[in-house]
Amino acid sequence: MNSTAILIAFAYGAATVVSVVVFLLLWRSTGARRPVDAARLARREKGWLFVLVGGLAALLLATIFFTPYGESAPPGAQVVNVDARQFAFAIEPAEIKAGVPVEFRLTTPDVNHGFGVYTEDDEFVLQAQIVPDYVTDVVHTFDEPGVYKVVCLEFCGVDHHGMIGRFEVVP
Amino acid sequence: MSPGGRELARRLTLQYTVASTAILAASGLLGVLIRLSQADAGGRLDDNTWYALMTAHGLGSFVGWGAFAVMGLSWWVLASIGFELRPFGAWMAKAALWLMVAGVAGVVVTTVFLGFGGSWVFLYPLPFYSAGQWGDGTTALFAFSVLLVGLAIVTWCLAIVHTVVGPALHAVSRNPFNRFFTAIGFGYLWPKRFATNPEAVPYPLIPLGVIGIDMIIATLPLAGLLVFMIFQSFVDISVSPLLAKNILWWFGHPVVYLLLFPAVAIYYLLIPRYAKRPLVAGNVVALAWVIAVIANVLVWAHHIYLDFPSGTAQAAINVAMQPMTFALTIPSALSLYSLGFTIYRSDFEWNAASTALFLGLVSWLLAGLSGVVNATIAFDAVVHNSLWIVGHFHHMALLNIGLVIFGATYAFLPELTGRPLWSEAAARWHIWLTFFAGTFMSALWIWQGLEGAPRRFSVLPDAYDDLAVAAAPVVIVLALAQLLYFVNVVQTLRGAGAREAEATA
Repeated sequence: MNSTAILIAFAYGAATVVSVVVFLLLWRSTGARRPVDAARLARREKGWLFVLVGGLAALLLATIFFTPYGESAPPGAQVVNVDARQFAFAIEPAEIKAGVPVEFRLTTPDVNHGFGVYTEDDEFVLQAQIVPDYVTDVVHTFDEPGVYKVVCLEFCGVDHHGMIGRFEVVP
Repeated sequence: MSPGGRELARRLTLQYTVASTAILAASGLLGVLIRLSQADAGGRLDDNTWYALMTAHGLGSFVGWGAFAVMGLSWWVLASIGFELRPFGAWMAKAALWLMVAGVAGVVVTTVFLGFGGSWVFLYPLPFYSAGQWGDGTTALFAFSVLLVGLAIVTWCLAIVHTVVGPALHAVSRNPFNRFFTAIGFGYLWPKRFATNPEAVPYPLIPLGVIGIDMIIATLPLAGLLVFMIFQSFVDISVSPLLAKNILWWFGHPVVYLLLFPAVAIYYLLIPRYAKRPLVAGNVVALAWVIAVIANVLVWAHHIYLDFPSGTAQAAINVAMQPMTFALTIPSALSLYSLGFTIYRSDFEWNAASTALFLGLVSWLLAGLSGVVNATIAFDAVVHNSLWIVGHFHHMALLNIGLVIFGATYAFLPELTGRPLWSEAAARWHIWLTFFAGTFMSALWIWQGLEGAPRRFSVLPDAYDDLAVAAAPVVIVLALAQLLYFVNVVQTLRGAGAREAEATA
């Protein structure tokens, strides 16, 4: 599993456990007929709002600098042209050097496609959308040599699931 | 409220409920077929049939059932808080019913019988690149059918907006704009400018007013694109695919809230009823809905975070959408606080309907948390277009919205028919089986997505076969559970519960 996916799995798993415990406690609290100070609870909603806004702001600050946008290829980067069309990828050149940044230039003459790169063992590496009439640039550095699969990750028609290409990263 | 107004709301709610329940039966069956085919349980459908059924299942379940059902239940929510449809609203409500039925019928014909398999988002220009699977005439008919569905939504919204500013609002101002802003809760924040006398705005009114105006704003551009596509089926014209994608999601995100906000109105109505105390809500709930009415139509690009063509502003738009999307979680989080503390230590009445609502709240929180992952660009870069997304939206649509629909149906049917529910026990079995099987099914998708399994694949790569096969029996249990619901609804409508009660007496 991809390292970001592992992080998501742990965070979501922990949040799920906490949520279920909260709802079990809520369920157990019913039927007690013990009065609550509804007005006080309503006033405290403002505090919950502050907690919420603080948490969301923290998540925003922690993640917003890790977007896949705007990375430009440094001098000496390899350039690989990827032409996607129903239902195949033409990847030129199909051999990439490990440890050297590569700029993928993604184009399509027909419909929207997805450029999803996986290792041969189906571990996800990166993805971007390919939009007709536009060029999308993606920069990445492959550290591990090997054969990589390119899977279409945007639905593109009847043989979408069969639209798979390959390139090789060499030492 | 006049007896005539109540009778009109009763009749409309029943009609919407019956029609949407029939659509659930059909679209749910299609969902079972494509999931079993993916697991190769009993054979595989041919590829285009699979994608055509996926298209029908997506549109049928999400809009034809989920949206249509809550649209109908909203009439009874409004009647329950004293808001009566006036002649214009009544006409619009009836028009919405028949436009939706006609639109869904058109989608069924073009997908199931004519093979349109462009997926429910029919990402332009795919409908015109069918690889020989369907013709441009079919695309025109499909676009026209979706246009009818869009018009159904707009007419429903007009009826809602017209009704929420009606006499039951008790707004001091006669200005229609002031009355509308009063209806969506502004009076809680600015009591002098948006004054009501003697009664404050009932909470269930607020989310209905918000979605009423938002869906008009969200749907009209899509309607324009659909008209364009109908013309393109016959003449040589085209539009920028990137613009079309933005227009699609300009509609595609708020339509999720077309399901959620009326469901929140149902929560606001029924949870206090079962807890036997008013909704625990401070003025910040109204603030949340002010945020919602704006943010709901400004978060579309979080569905296209991974579209960032060079030389366009798309990447900048996408970055702006992350904080906007985070802001849109605030109404949900505050509503969960209010509803949770309304239940807390209350003498809560537990029956099938209230259990469904309670379990719906659990799913709302869990699906909302997976939604925060999707809303975060750095995480979406991993889960985008994976089965994680499928798990997330089934969790939200079936186990939050769906359970609200089931709960509200069980709660309202006796009021609507004047007869008791046929079987409370069957309803409880239905709710618990749906919750456990549905949650398990969604969890499997979420896990597959984290492992990298792509969505919208008629045949998954071999690496994901094991969990796809594991899901097959779960899907069958979920489907069988829905039979309990259908039988219960039909029997209640037939008055079987009342007859059995008489026989017992």
